[in-house]
Amino acid sequence: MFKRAYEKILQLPGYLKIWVKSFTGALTVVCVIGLILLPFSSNTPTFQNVMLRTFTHALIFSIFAASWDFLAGIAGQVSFGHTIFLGVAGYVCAMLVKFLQFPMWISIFIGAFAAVLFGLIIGIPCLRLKGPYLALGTLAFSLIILLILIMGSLADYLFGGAGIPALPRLSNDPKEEYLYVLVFMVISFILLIRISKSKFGTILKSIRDDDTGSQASGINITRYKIYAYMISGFFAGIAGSLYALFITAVNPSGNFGLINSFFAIIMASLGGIATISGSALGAFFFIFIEYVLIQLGFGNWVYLIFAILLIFVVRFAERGLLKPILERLKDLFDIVLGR
Amino acid sequence: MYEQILSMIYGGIVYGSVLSLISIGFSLLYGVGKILNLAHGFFYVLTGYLAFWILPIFNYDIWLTISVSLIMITLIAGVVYLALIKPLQHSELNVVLITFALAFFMEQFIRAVWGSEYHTIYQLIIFQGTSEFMGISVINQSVFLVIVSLVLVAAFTLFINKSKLGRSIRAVSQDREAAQLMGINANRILLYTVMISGFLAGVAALLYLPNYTLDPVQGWTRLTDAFAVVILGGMGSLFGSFAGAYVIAFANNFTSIFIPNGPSWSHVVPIILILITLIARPRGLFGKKEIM
Repeated sequence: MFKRAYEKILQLPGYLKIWVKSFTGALTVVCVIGLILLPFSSNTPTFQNVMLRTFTHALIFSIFAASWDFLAGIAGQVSFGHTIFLGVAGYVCAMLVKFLQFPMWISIFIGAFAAVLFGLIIGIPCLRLKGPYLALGTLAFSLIILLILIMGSLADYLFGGAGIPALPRLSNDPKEEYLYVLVFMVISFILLIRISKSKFGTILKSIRDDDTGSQASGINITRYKIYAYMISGFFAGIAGSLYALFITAVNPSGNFGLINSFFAIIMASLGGIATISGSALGAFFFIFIEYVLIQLGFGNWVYLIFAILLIFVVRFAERGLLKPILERLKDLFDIVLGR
Repeated sequence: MYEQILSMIYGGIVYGSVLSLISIGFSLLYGVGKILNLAHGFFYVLTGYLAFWILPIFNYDIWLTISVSLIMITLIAGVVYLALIKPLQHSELNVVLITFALAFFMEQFIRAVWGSEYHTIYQLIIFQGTSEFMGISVINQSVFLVIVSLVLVAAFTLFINKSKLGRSIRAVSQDREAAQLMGINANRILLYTVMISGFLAGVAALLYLPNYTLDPVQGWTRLTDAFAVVILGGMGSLFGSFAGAYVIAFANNFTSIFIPNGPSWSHVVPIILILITLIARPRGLFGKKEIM
C-alpha cells in the first residue's frame, strides 16, 4: 500500500504538467493565482475593508454552494434545508469560541463535525423520501429549527432571537482573513472534486441516475446516501463556522434563515448543477451582482431580482449560465494552442 | 378545564377547515401531475394581499373584492402553470426548483410592494361579531368558514367523482399515457387542477385571514402544515388530506392550549407528526402504496 502511494507521489509532477496544459487545469491555476494575488492588488482602505470582505464572503459561500452541489448534483438528494448545516456549525463554533475559549481552528472543525452529526440525524428520516418530498422535508426541517431557535421560552438554552453577538474575527487584518478563508476554500474544492471523481463519487452518481438499478448491482444505497449527507454536511459546516467568525455573530434568522439555502441553490444553478467548480464561479458572480446592485441603490430589491434571476435560469438555462460560456472559452483555448 | 377542551375542539375545527381547503389542492396536484407546488402557501398569502390591495379600489365592497381576488388568484395559478411549470414537467427536480424560486419571488414581491409590517383586512369579515355556544364564545366568521369549507369539500368530492372533468382528472392521475390515448388533453387537465388548487387556497385565505393579520412568512408555515397533512394523510388521497388536516389542526391546538409555552411549540407539532409518520408508515394513513 505504501509502495503504491509512493509511486503515485512520484507520478505527481508529470501528472501536474499535463494537467496544467489542459483547459481546466490552466483555468484553475489562473483563477487560484488571481485569487492569491487579489488582496495585494490595492492598498486603499475602501478596497481593504469593503471589497476584500465582499470577496471573503464570496469565498465562504462558494464552499457552502459547492457542498449543496455535491449533495444535489452528484448524489441527487436535493435539499432545501442546507442552511441547517450552516447554522448548526456556526452556533457550535460560536459557543465554543465565546464561552469555552476554545482556539478558533479547533472550533471550526468541531462545528463542522456537529454539522456532520446533523447530516446523520436529518439523513436517516429523509432517506424514506425521494425527489420532491425530500426537498420539502428538508425545507420543513429547516423551518422548524428556525422556529425553535426563535422561541422565547427556550432563550435561556438556545440564546433566543438575539443569538450570540460579538465573536472574535478570524483575523483583524482583512488581508489575512481573506487568505485563511482562501486556503479553506481551495482545500475544500480539491477534496470535493476528488471525491466526486473517485469510485465513491461514481457510486453516488449511479444512485442519482437510477437507484433501483444501483441497488440491483449490489450497492447499499442507504449507506451511501447517508455518507453523502455527512460529507456535504462537513463542508457546509466548515462554511458555517467560517461564516459565523466572518460576520462575528450568530442569530437564528441570519444563520438558519431560508435565504441561505436559497443562496446556495442560486449560486450552484448559476454555475451549473453537478459541476462542483461551477458553484465557485456562481458564488463570485452572485456576490458581485449583489454588490453592484447595492451600490446602485437597489438594496431593497436585491432578493426580488435574484428570485427573478433564479426563475429565468431554471426555466431557460438548465445547464447554468457559466458552463456554456466556459465551453466557448475552451474552444477558443484549443484554437489558440493549435489543437 | 371543560372550557379549555371546548375551545380546543373549536379551534381545531376552524383551523382544520382552513388546512383541508389548502391541502386538498396541494395533494390533488401531486396526485394528478406529480407536481409538488412549493408556492402553494403563497397562493394563500397572496390572495390576502390582493384583497388588501383591491379593497380601497372597490370602495370596501366585500363581495366584489372577494370575487375579483378569487378570479385573480385562479388566473395567477393558471399563468404560473402555463409559463413555468408546464415547460419543465419532464423533470420533477426542476419543477421543485422553479416553484421554490417562485415562492421566494412571491415572498420578496410582497415584502417589496406592501412592506414587512402587518396588515389587516378586517373589512372583509362577512358575519361580524361573536356568539355564545355551550359556554365559549365563537367568532361568527369562523363558523361560516367551517360551513363553507365543508360544503366546498363535499362539492369538490362530488365534482371529482361524478362530473366529466372530474373523471378526466382521475383518469390522468391514474395513468397519464392511457388517458391521453383516450383523447384527454392531460396538459389542460393539469391547468384546471392548478387553477382549482389556487382557488381553494384563495377561499381559505379570504375567509380565515380577515380575523388575523397578513404576514408573508405565513406562506412558508402554511406550506409546512400542508406538507404535514399530505404526508400524514397519504400523497394524492383526498380523504387522507381531509382527515389529516383535522388531525394536524387538533394536535396544533392541543399543544397551544395544554402544554406550557404552547403557542410557540405548536409550530413544531407538524414536523414531529411528519417524522412519526415517515418512520412508522411512510405512505401515510390513506395513501396508495406505489407513490412513496
